[in-house]
Order: sequence, then structure tokens, then C-alpha cells
Amino acid sequence: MKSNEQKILYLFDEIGKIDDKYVAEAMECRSYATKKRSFIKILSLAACISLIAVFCLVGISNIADTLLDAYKNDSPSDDGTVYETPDALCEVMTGLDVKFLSAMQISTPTAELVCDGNVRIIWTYDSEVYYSITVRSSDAKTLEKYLAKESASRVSPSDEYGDFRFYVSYGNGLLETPYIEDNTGRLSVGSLSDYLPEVYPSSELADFIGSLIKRAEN
Amino acid sequence: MQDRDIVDLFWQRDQSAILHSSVKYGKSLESTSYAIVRSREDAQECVQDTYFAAWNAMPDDRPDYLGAYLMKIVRNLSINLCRKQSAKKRDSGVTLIYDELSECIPDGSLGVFEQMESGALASVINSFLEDLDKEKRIVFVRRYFYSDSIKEISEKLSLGESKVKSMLMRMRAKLAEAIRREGFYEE
Repeated sequence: MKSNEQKILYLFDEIGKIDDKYVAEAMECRSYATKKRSFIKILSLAACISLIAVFCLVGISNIADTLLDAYKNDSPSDDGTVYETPDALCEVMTGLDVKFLSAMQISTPTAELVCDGNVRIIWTYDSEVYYSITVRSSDAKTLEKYLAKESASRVSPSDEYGDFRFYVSYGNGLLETPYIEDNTGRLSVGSLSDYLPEVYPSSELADFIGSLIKRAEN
Repeated sequence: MQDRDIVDLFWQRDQSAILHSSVKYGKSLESTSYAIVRSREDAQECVQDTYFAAWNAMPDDRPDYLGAYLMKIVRNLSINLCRKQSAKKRDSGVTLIYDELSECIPDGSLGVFEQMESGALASVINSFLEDLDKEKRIVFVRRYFYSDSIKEISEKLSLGESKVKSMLMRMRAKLAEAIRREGFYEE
């Protein structure tokens, strides 16, 4: 009977017999990484352009509203109708969020990102499966306080980040990406679409979010 | 120079084939060997032996991927050298890798294991690799074929070390499941 060590050696030897195409593919891994970085750069650029376009649209919309208000003040409508502009920022930003998450092969329905005013926490352990929970209004207020207080503490670009990604969706189309320290077991660090995370919360916030997620998992 | 041109030189028994192989793949070969034997001299010796082995084998073999072909030879030679130097074995670069691979081997009877033909398990591993996406496959092959460290893989692929570790852990679990499913190990 062969020992466990012999079995390991056998397995190691067998790995040496894998198809040449896989060996060659891994040999050129640097070019693969470069291509991946290029893709992320393009994605970042596209996101920036989209954001600029959104802000321009919103700006134009506001100017148009101002002009319309001025016009209405000058010549009020006959029936006294109140003109409501649609929440363009919400709609467009939600679309962007959906695009981002679709690009990351989100496997749960993106319907979670609706503008219904609910605060949600979205997270993943392995960037393949995304989970989300709706946060109770009392917890949402606590969460908002934490994030507002700590939003100034930026993460150093040299900090490492791992698989755990974490976002807060405010239900108005905006996402925030806090950075969670690796201090509570499975909770580690977070980033959005391989960008460096922005906020570096305290251990209290990490514990708070951890408790919300663990409650949802149970 | 393209791989097929170098292979042609081998077939024509032109010694410049070794020079061209050395220019194109020498550094990678030495690096792979060093990851296993952990001695610069031994690694260089293994690389020289690799060219010699390729020179002798080439009139029969016509590899599509010369780099992979040479890489397999140097890996085998390095492992053999490492095993011969049994006293140094615990210091070799693959000790950690052996520990990780032990997770892929289920406990239980070894009857089936002993009857396995050479290469039979490799086909299971090939199927397992086929099912992985490209990034995961590269991480797996860099770790267990090239014996790269976690740090080296994370640098080469621009991934965090913790991400590489967790990817490997999940892939080992999947491989163990594939091996068990194919009936190579009796429970």
C-alpha cells in the first residue's frame, strides 16, 4: 500500500502531464494580466465618460428647469398644473450601476438595484455570486451615520484587497463602496470592479456591517 | 524565431536549435527549475539536461508548443533531482505545494490508486482545467505546474494574495471532488 506522501507525489507528477496548451497559456500569463488591466482601464474610462455625460445632462436639465420656472412665473399655466421633472439622476445612475454589476457577471437579479428608497447592502465573497439584504430603516440610519463620519478616511493605494466586495445601495441609484478590515473572520476587504476601495471604516462599522450580514445569512 | 522553426532545426540536427531554445525559453526554464530545486547550480544543470533530452527525443517528437514541451522536461528532471537528494527534500520549493495537494487526495483505500495507469489521472486534471475560466486555470497551472509562490502569482496576474489563496483553495476542493467522482479513490 502506498503512503499518502506517495499519492501526493503521484498527483504532482500527473499534473506535469497536463495538456501542453494549458502549460503554454500559463507561460504567457503576463500578457493576460496586461490585457486584463487594459480592460479595466477601458472600463474606468467608459465609467468616467458616462459620469461626465450624466452630470452634463443633469446640468442641462437644471438649466432647462430654471428657464421653465422663469417662463412659468412670467406666464403661469391656465389650469395651474405643477410640472414635475423626472428623477433623471436616479434613473441614469441606476442604469450605470446595473451595467457595472452586469460587467462583473452578477448572478442574482439586478432588480435589487431599484429606486424604491430602500437601503440595501450588496456583497460577494468570490465575485461570482452576489448577495443582498434590505436594511431596516433604523439600521440604515446607523449605517448612514457611520459612512458620513468616516468617508474622509481614504484607503492607501498600497493596501491589499481581497475577494470580499461590499456595496451599499441607497435606493436612489447611488452605490458606496466601503472598505472593511480583515478583522471579523470572513469579512475582509472590498472594492468595486477592481477599483481601489474608497472608505476605510472603523472596526465598529466593520462589526456593525458584519452583524447585519451574519443576521441575514442566518 | 517561431517555435516551429526551432523544431525544424532540431529535426535537421542543427545545434543552433539549442541556442535559439535557450534564448527564447532559457530564463523561464531556469526559473521553473529553481522553484523546485532551490539551487541556482542545480537549476542550470537541469536546463542543460533539458536541451540534451529534447535533442535526443526530437526526431520522434514534433511538439506544437515547444515552450510547454521543454517546460515539462525541465519540471520532470528537477523533480527527479529533488527526490534523489532526499536529504534536501524538506527544503525543496515544493514542500508547501505537496501540503496543499494533500487536500485533493481523499482518505480511504488505495486499491484503485495502485492500479492506475500513468496519465490516467492527468486526463481527469485536463477535464477539470477545461471547465475552469482562463484566469483560474492560469493560477492553478502557475501554482502546481510551475511551482510559483502565491506572491509571484499575485504579481504576475495583478491579483491580491488573499484572492489567489482563496481561488486555489476552492480549486483544490473542486479537483478533489473531480478525482473522487471519477472513482480514482475508493471511500
